[in-house]
Amino acid sequence: MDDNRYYIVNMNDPNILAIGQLSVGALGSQRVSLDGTQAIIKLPKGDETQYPELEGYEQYNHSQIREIVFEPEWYNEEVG
Amino acid sequence: MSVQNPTIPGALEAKGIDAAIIDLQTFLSFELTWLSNGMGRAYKRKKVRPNQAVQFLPMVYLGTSKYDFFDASPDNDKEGQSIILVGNRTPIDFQRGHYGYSEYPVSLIFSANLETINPILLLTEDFTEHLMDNVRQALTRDILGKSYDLEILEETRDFDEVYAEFDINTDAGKTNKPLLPMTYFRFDTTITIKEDCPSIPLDRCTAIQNNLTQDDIDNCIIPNYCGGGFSNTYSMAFDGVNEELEAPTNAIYDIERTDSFTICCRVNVASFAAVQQFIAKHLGGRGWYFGVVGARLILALEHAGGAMSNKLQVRTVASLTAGVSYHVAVTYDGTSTPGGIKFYIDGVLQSNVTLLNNLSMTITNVFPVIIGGPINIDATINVVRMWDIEFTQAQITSDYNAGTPTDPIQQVNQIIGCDMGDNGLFGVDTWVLPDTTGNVTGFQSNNMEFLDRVAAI
Repeated sequence: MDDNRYYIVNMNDPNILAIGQLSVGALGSQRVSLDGTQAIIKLPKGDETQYPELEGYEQYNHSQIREIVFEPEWYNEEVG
Repeated sequence: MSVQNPTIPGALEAKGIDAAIIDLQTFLSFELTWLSNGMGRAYKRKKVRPNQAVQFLPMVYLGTSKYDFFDASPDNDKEGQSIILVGNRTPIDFQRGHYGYSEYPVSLIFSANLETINPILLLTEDFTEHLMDNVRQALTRDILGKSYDLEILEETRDFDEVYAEFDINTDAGKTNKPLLPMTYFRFDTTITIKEDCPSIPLDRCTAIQNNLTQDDIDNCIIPNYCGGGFSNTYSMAFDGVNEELEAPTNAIYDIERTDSFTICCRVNVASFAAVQQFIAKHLGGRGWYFGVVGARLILALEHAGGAMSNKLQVRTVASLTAGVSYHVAVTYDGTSTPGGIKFYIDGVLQSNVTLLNNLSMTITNVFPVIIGGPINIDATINVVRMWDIEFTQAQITSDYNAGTPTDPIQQVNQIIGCDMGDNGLFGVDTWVLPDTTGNVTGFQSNNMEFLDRVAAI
């Protein structure tokens, strides 16, 4: 099964609107870090294109990005 | 007794796998309207022809005074015929002093005459897949209350693979057997039984109905399907990163801590972490949500977090297992106390642990209702429903078994109904999934693709 490729991009990237065009879903609906400086975007399943707009950004698979979204920069639900 | 359509006797003293096979034989004959000759356990038996040619054929025991075996080879006189092949037993989960479990490879082999089933449809298409879909549904969503667990491993329509163990020739020129209107297919499965099969039904729903103890229920095999009569086609798969469904704002969702409510849904969580939400009207420590904390169910009603913490949080003692489908439910009685919260897993009332208990202020907020977030969950979710009343155990069981709220009180009080991908529409990059209550037009996806609509759980 084809997987998504995930990227954490800077919201102040001059190419942010172009990056938003590449991602699944609108830029405004993406998951943003708690301080608002970064967003997680993903490419459609099976899209293996190397986009110049994403050069310099690290690529993550699903299990890697799942670990990241529970780090303090992205997650703050208090339990117990 | 006709030779073409013999009466296959039902065993009265069946034990172990034979009890399971006889039950499966009866179940399939009941569920599949086109199965005119649903036979039981078949054996590979040598048959010597008058010309001394030797064939291995599928033979079914007839139990007549002659102790006969009946040749269950495909036959175009029969609308639908099935036989069941049982492989060798493998002991699993052995513990000294306890009942063990056994696993058997079991193959269900079907032959059918499509012309006798639907001659009109056959004029335009080979509808074998319809029959296979009937079998698939019977073996997954409809099978319940059994003393065994069955899992489909592989399916085939290739004639040589369907009858791989036997010397059945295609005989195309002579009998037209492998050609339409005849069709052949096979389901390879695994059946798991407890050593004392069939004394205790192994699925949890039947365990409840038989008033088994919690320990016994916990030992029951959890079926990888949900609900007896429930049937729909699609679920939605959420990635636990940024995929979710959002409802339009509506005052009907403004649940206060003094309001009672019930939420039911079917879930299969792929991976566990900290809090992940099935459904929520919640953000930044304000609102309500139903989800998991780790692998345990949690309901939270919150006014505020941090230094102003004012929350009620309760979780289950029991854990879910990753990759297993469950019907999960929570009820709340509006008392703002831990005792007012009840969780059910596959219809079974759970024991709880209180995490926080100091809620005394409002939980209403302006945030939308989200399914699959906003703390996104890595799970497949189906049939999410919410009511503004506290359900009884009987009503929870009804939702678990039937999948449809038949009680008028339930229908009147339902405020959320999302059957996920069923009747959903995919636009350029967004799913719109209808709200079956009609309270809002539907739930709109965020960051989800066409391929995120998956088979029903």
